[in-house]
Amino acid sequence: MTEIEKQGCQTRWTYAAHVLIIGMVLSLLVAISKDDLQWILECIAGILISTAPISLKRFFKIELPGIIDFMIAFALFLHVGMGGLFDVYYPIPDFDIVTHFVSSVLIAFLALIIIYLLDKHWDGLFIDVYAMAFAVVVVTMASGIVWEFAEWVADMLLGMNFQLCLEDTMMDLLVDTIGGMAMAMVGINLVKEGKLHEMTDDLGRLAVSYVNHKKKL
Amino acid sequence: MKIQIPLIASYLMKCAMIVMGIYSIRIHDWLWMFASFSGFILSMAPNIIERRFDIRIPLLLDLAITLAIFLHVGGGVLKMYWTIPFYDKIGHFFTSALIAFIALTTVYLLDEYWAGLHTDIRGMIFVTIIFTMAVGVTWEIGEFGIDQVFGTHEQRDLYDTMTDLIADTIAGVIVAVSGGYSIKSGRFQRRIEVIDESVDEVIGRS
Repeated sequence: MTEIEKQGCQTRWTYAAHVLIIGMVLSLLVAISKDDLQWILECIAGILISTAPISLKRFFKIELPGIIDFMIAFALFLHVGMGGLFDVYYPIPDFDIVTHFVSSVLIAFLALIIIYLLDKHWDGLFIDVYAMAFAVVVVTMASGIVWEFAEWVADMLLGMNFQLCLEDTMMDLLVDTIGGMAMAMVGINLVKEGKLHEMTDDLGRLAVSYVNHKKKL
Repeated sequence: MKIQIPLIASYLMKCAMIVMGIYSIRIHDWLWMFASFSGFILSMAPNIIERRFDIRIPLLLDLAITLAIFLHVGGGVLKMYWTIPFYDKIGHFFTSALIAFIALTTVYLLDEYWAGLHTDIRGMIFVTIIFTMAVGVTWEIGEFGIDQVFGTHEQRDLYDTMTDLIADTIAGVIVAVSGGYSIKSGRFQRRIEVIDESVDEVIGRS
């Protein structure tokens, strides 16, 4: 891929992310008109998180890969936009399986990028591709639990009902695991073909300024 | 020969499992009779591995395996699972501690002998914690699958499952952090010295 093509690819994903963020803003407006407090808060949180990459770029000069921008916005849009704007949770009760899958793929991808950058640039870690894939799966499963803990604590303290029942929670954890595994398999290919290296070019330069240079062995 | 208290404790627990198996036969509790005897065989696994493959297992690992199985079998035979509240959390805690210890040892040995992994202590601690959590999830998904397929009730309710996972996580964190400190001070290396040497021999052989 030439530099210009890469730039084009980058902006295409970013454009798509912006469209999804606009969708979330619309959904916020609908939420305000319906006066639904929980949904308003979810929309605001979704918009803030999915605009985080833009602020990172603006204020800290950290440019995430465009596909990450898109995936963050997509995962949140599926929940906030689709769940709110189109009310898909009522006709399709299993829709949260889709959202869980997308967000766990996102988490797995972030984990993959972090481990890859640490492997490349940090003295403290040198790791084989397959061990990397294993670590990605395990991190995704563990963050699935952390998420469920958070829901559980929120249910206990605030009297909400995020975790509907045992079946629901177990399906969530199962889907997280499957998402992590899927991303790990894709990740092995990305690393082997060097695509991940292309994607994390900018981040790599940033990482170099923060962590020790890997000594050339 | 030096008197090794962990070794004696381990053998006492193994004998106790046989006694509990015989007791279960007396009270016609066939499920827990099966559990006691298979628990005994499982807890002999380190000894069998030592004989068969000429790999020496650290005494601490042997003790931990026996303790985890003993707690489970004892809880079942003496009905402690049903009479003592939070007994199953204790069982979960010790089993997860055992898994965390195995994970830490494995990561340490891989770091030392495998070209594909070099990591510092923080990386080892992190991997141990998340691995223990992931094993907890796998266990719960397994229980869930069994419940769905066979219509049993291994998982009582959501509260029970979440507290199980919390017990797993706490055990993982405690073992990983204390293990990390003992790697730093060199005590961990002394504890697993025998398996370290065995792995060295195995790699040297091939």
